[in-house]
Amino acid sequence: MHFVVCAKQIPDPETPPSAFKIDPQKNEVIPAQGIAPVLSQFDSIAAEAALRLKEAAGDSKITVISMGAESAQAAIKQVLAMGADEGLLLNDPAFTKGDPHTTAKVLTAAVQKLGDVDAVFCGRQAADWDWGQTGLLMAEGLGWPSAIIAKGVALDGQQLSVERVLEDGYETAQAPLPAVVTVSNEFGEPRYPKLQQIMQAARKTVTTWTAADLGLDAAEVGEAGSRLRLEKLFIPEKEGKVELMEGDTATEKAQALVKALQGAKVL
Amino acid sequence: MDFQLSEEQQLIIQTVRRFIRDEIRPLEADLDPDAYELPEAEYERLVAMTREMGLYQMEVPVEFGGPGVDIVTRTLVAEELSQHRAGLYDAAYGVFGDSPPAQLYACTPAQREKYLDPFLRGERHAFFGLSEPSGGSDPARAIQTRGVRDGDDWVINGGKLWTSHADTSDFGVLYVRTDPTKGRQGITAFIVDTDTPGFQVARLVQVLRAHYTTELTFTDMRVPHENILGEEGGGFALANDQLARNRIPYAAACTGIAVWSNELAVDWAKQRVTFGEPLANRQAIQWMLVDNEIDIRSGRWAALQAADLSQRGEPFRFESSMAKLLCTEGAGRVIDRCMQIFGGLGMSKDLPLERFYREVRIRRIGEGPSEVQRIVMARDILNVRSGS
Ligand SMILES: Cc1cc2nc3c(=O)[nH]c(=O)nc-3n(C[C@H](O)[C@H](O)[C@H](O)COP(=O)(O)OP(=O)(O)OC[C@H]3O[C@@H](n4cnc5c(N)ncnc54)[C@H](O)[C@@H]3O)c2cc1C
Repeated sequence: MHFVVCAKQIPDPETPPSAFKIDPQKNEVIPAQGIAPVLSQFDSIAAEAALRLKEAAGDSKITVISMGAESAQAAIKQVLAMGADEGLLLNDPAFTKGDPHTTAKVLTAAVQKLGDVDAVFCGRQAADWDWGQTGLLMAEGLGWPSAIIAKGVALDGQQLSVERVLEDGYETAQAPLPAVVTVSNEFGEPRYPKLQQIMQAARKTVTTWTAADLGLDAAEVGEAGSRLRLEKLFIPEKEGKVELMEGDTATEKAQALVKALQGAKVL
Repeated sequence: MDFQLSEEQQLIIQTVRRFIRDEIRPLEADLDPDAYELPEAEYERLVAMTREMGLYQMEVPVEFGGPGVDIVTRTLVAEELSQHRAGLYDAAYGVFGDSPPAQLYACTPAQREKYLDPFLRGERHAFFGLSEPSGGSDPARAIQTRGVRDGDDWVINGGKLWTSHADTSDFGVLYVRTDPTKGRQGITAFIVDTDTPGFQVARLVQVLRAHYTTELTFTDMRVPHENILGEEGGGFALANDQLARNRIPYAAACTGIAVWSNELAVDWAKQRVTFGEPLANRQAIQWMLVDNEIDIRSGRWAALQAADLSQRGEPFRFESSMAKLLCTEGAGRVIDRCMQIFGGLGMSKDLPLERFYREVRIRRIGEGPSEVQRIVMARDILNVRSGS
């Protein structure tokens, strides 16, 4: 079996709010100085899902793919250190500033170029923009079935059995291979890498594919191919206000409080 | 010159950082502010994890069955491991494994089987007994504990002070004067079982950290000749390099607590408003934060340079002393400033700062006081053995 894990490098969600900055003119997040970007948490869980399947299936291979800057190698290496076999970086200036649709297009082209892939694992969403669309759009592009927001995945012959998180419970879905699965945090904690695997991962070379390698036209990817336009990026202003409830007795104060809450449409 | 970390180092650091954030800090939130141990079950669970990760007893050399992680990487890791409340003296509550007294690596095959291997397996615990009431800075002169040869045994009389963990240890490395005519060359290191008749923990010595240390007395304590570590009279020749090397991660651990304290303080300075402005807008506070960063970075680079030299087999004694001094003293200043920025909250046990403040103070004394580090450096500069 050949599994693919899609891994995105994102700004560290643990960045303290005071260090989070945006450029409102360019509608861009300014990378926080001195805080290294990280692998999106949901993607490390997707990697965990793929690794468990690989262990169960035996004789399998995991390729981790990241579309991103040169620095995204670090995210790839992290999944390699967890136990994935090969790394693939999709890096091209034309890929930048896209939307979920163009990202999925690039990732889909890579999976098609790999050719022999049995299943693709994505995080349920990237922990920066939280779109939650890339996996689904890839399934569409590949013409494969998809099962999203998984909390459990098992191989069942040539089918995948996927336990899905619903709003009010769980359901188990069957999908024939090849398929796309997006994995949720309910799946469980991703493993810690082992020292030996870290050393192996550090020695592995990550292959880079550009738009040309994937046979993609610069006009259909990144900003040029994007169908979504970001109108305005801003940090909401938080305002705090204190109002003291007047009254001679506790009952009066409570009544004043109820009135105030009703006035503020909280009650 | 390359200031970049290798990919391997970055991955190890990431792993350790996640472990401290996700496994240690949440557990610590439920412990007493001065706790130095985890509940047994949690300890066992986490040790199983670090063993699985291959990061248990990182520094143990490959020939002794450990992963033998290099000193530069261990220095980087030490800075991560200490970043929790108990982290300075009980990094990750010991779940990454204890290291034996470095001298123990000089053991014979028989000693290895009886002492070192069981230690490395976590079955037996050990103390290190050098300092005495007569002084620890210049032990070659100060040691008064006497050993006299009697047949196949040595009979030892005297006592030690500040011997950490001796009350919970199974054995220890003990420095004894075996030839009073020979000065430094008259000191021998013995492995001593704590159940030897005549060995006594005289009292527990309370210090400014919650974990006490001990005072020991030895009365006609018979120790077999075969328990000598290394050569008779060669106590101070043992593991000299290793001791100087160990000083480097020891120093880096101080940088770790400074880093975390400073992170907390930077965030607080941006949030806390006094007299209508955030603290971060005040030059008085800005300068404190800048000075913190200077202390942190100078300590960090000094430690890494010392580690790098030692790794490349070049002389590094000056650099390791300098790192020890810069990191321990710098961290003390950083934590003090952070407490000032936090005001009353800085004094409370809701934050780790007050514990760091107490514990980091010991670091200017332990492993050789700052003044002794300066003596080592002065000897190097002046090429003389001044003051000793
Ligand atoms: C909590 C704790 C745990 C410890 N654990 C252990 C342990 O497990 N095993 C062990 O063997 N020891 C241990 N020690 C002892 C420690 O190593 C010694 O305290 C240290 O070496 C200093 O020795 P001393 O206290 O006798 O001070 P002294 O040697 O009396 O020196 C006192 C002070 O004089 C100054 N000084 C000394 N010489 C000079 C000089 N030439 N020029 C200028 N100034 C000088 C220094 O400022 C020094 O701090 C521990 C100490 C503490 C506090």
